[in-house]
Amino acid sequence: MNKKYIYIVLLLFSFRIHAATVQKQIHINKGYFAALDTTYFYYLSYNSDSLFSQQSMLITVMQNDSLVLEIYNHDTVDHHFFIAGMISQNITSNSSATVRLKFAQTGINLFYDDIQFPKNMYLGLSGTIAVLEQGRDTKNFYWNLRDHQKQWNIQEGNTINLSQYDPDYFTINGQSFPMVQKDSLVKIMGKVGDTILLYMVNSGLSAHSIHFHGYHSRIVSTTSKTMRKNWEKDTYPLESMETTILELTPDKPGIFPVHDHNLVAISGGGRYPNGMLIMMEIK
Amino acid sequence: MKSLIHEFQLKAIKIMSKKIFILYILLVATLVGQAQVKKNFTLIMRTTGYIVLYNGDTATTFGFATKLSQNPPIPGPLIEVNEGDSVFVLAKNISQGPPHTIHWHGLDVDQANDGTPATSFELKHTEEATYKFKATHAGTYIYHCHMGDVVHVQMGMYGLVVVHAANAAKTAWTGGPAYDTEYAWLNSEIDKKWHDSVPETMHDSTQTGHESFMIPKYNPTYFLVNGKSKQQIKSDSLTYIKSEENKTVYLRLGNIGNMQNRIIFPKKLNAKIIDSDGRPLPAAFSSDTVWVSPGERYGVLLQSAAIFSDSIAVDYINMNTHKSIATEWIPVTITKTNSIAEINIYNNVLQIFPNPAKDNFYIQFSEQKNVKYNLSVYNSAGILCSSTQKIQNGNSIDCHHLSQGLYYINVLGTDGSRYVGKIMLD
Ligand SMILES: [Cu+2]
Ligand SMILES: [Cu+2]
Repeated sequence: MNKKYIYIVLLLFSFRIHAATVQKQIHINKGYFAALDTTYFYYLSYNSDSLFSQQSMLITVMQNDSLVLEIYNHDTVDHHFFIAGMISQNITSNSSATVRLKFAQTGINLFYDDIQFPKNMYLGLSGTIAVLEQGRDTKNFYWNLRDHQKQWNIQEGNTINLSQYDPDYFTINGQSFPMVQKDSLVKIMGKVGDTILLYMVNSGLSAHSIHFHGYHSRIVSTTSKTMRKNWEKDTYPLESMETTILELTPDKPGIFPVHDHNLVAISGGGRYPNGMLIMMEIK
Repeated sequence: MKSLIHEFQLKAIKIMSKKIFILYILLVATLVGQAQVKKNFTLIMRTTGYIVLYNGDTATTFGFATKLSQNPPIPGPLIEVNEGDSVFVLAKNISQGPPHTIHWHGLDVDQANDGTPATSFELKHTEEATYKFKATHAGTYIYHCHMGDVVHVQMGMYGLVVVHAANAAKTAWTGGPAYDTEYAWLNSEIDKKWHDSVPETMHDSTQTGHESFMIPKYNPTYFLVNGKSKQQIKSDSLTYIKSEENKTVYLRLGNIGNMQNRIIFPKKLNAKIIDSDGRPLPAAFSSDTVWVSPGERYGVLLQSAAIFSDSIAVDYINMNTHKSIATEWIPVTITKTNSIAEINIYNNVLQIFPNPAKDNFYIQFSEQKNVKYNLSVYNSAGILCSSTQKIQNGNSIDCHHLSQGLYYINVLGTDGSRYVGKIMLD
């Protein structure tokens, strides 16, 4: 056999052993979001089991992996599992459905419930699927940005009036500063020379403008209407439903804040500091 | 000049001992290469300022001043340096109020100088310290207090840092596109309710500044470009863009408010976006609309072959409702290329006489202030030809060493005031 063909066969084989089938469960739960000022409000969440958590769900797969999702709806109304351009699956109340997905592109995918859009997403039904590159040594962090206006959530069935939206709670993966720092997917930790990737999605209704102290990062990809691919910046605007992936290679050690530069979003229930803020630590 | 030095060096090698020669080389490197330029600034942190709004109303402010007798301007004094400069900013808190810091937004300074409370130093009332950093990349940056920043920034503790290309070349960055004149707009908003209701603790020097506090809902009613709005902008030479046909304006945009800015240029200005956050874009692009979110900066080139007057719209977009809630109109006038003597394209009037001049000339400012000025002379290619430090109104400037031609004079006061003029040398 020609040497070239042996290489091709080997190459195909290497793909086969790397591309796995990943099985996950997603549970649609309802419960109450707890803010740090002891405010509670009605919330919906995609969780990995039937126990309600306000923590946003993250699923990671490798490029070309197949993903089999069993989705259970524990709510009394129907919900969707929706990824733009990929899938729209209805899950009737108190039942389940199975979906199969394959991700050819690396990046970050936002899944959400598009019923009565944006109401159910706003109430917490959003999560992310990150598709990672095979064999790349990076430190990865995942932020799902959300915002909430307490008065809309007092009880089920409230309608959202976007023209008067004025949120008072701002979260990353369902938590705010300082509690959010306990989430190892959120608090950026690394050392000088590391390749750090930050996968950000904005499933809130507001626009956010995330600013890094200490470092510029390169925008690896973004769905923003301004094509900012490969821009080197320190401040990254994300409109509602947009995603942005940053690559940061720290050149010096230090503890630096990363925060929304709409400074009102560094508060919770009117109390500062709270909201979208973390302290990044580079050794 | 270069060959002269070279000849001299060759002679020196023969005459001097090796050690002395090394010392000599170091001296030449410092003088010719301008390798280590230090720039010093002083910013005094105040909490007893005020701003006069377009409708005659006033709001109490916090801010940065260059001297105690000065009402802290909004935005604060311009920090203007060149790429490669070592920057030293002496910060003094004379506020009778809470601690303050200065965050060097976008300059990627080290943790000790970053201005974040708790992780870097903070200055209590009567304390002072120097922030040190190197301006590594030409571009547009912001400085602001990071102590209780949602309030201190709203109260006015912010300003611009402009890092020019190396050696003050009139290019957007070192080796970047050239321009003839430049403007910088720092946009923000004022919710007067916040200024009226600043909690007493904000004027209490016993506060640590680390206490958490409540903020009101944010509903600004004044929308600022360089601290001004409506008719105030029309008489502000730092904001009103005046240029000539086929001349290039470099416009720096920064947003330190809590709303997005959407800037819409008249098509005739051929707006081209070339940089953001202190870095050149991988590919510049033409667009009549630029969005600037809180904390972002953009660099835009404007050039027109037409002679006209129009306005640039600055929309203030609510981050939550995505609706434009206010628009400020910035006038722009493109005139026919003027004769040298009349040039007063931007900033304040600088009187230069005689003009044309031969061995020296005199400068006169429109305002009489007890301020020291640094004067820079650029040739028509934008290269810095000479600079004189610490001059005062009416001083004579020696120019006999400069060759014949057209020169641009740029005068910067220690209080942030700026004067510009042109002179013809015979
Ligand atoms: Cu302050
Ligand atoms: Cu900032």
